[in-house]
Amino acid sequence: MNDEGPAGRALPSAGRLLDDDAVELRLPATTHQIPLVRVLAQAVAARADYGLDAIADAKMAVDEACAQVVGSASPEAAMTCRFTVSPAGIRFSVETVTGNPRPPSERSFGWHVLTTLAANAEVRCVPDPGGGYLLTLGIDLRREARG
Amino acid sequence: MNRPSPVRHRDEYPHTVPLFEELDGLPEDDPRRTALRARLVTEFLPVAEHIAARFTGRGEPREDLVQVARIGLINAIDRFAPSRGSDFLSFAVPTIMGELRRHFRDTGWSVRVPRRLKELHLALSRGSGELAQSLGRAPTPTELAEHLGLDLADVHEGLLAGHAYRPLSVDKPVHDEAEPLVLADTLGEEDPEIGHIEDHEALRPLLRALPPRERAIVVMRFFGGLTQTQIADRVGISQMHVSRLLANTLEQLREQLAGEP
Repeated sequence: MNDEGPAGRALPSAGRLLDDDAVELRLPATTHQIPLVRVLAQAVAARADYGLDAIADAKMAVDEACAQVVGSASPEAAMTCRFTVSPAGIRFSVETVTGNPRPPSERSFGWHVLTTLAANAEVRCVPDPGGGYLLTLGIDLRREARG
Repeated sequence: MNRPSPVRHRDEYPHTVPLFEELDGLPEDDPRRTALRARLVTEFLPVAEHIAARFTGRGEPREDLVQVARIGLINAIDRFAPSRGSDFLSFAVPTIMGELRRHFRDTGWSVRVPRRLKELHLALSRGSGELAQSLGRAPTPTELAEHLGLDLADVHEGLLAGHAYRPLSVDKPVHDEAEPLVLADTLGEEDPEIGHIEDHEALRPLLRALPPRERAIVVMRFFGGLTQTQIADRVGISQMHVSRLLANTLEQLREQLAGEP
């Protein structure tokens, strides 16, 4: 598998079960695909019984996170989106391969939007053994909407 | 004007004619304009409500339609020029209907959704408004299911159906640039502290170019520290409507900042 992360966070092979509380979606890293991730975000947040504000914020945050990652992704790269549900809330991460060693700026309007809508936003970019860099962006989708 | 206005005698609001003439004669910065405008808006509110009522039953909450119709009314009042010789109603009715049609085009169901789901979505929208009133925050799906006597699974399905409301970005309509920047005044727009954002110089003109309601909603959410439910309460539309406007506007801003058309 060439889509294994260097930090040992390997993508599961088809035969292996995910954790009970994790949902993953792997799709082309293009703008066109982002609405699919948004639909999944809506469903996951609703199932976790988030308030309607928080569901809407989660959708927009996931939208923004994916847009940031897609903006840097190498042509024809895939992105892997993962929702991990715990009693504390939902952690969302999106990962792709990029030729750019620098992660997206944390001073852009998009980043401001992201940190208004979600907590603990983290982005990192590390060399990928398969060539290029592995870009990962993670956010906590808040259970309670906050202004 | 030397041409008489033959339709004026059919005007059901003859007492407003001098008000329009007075408004038209005042300079742009005259403080009396605000009061006159507010008076005219109040006088014609029943017209806006009447037209909004004709658009109900199409899957949009009534409160949102009334709000949209009022925006159309305010636009009509601001754009009306009595010196052109037509009466206000024959100008206002198409303006208000245009605003409502634009609303349906902007937020209408973009794919065919079964009637049952539309009705479900409408019930959820109504229910969430009622619960937000009593809870002081947005309800959860569980609370909605209890409140409306619905299965939780149906609530989930109905909320997902709300997605069909979002038009795809490719067919997103261009906003009417002629829309006057009047609503921002009534919405209490906070001064955006966007100086720390590196692309703020690109962002500011884009924000300014937004229709006033969209701009106010973006500013309140991202620079004013308000939740969607709080914004909905201030603007007088449903949280779901705020959510759609926000998501659409963000997408638009993102494309514009990225330099796309």
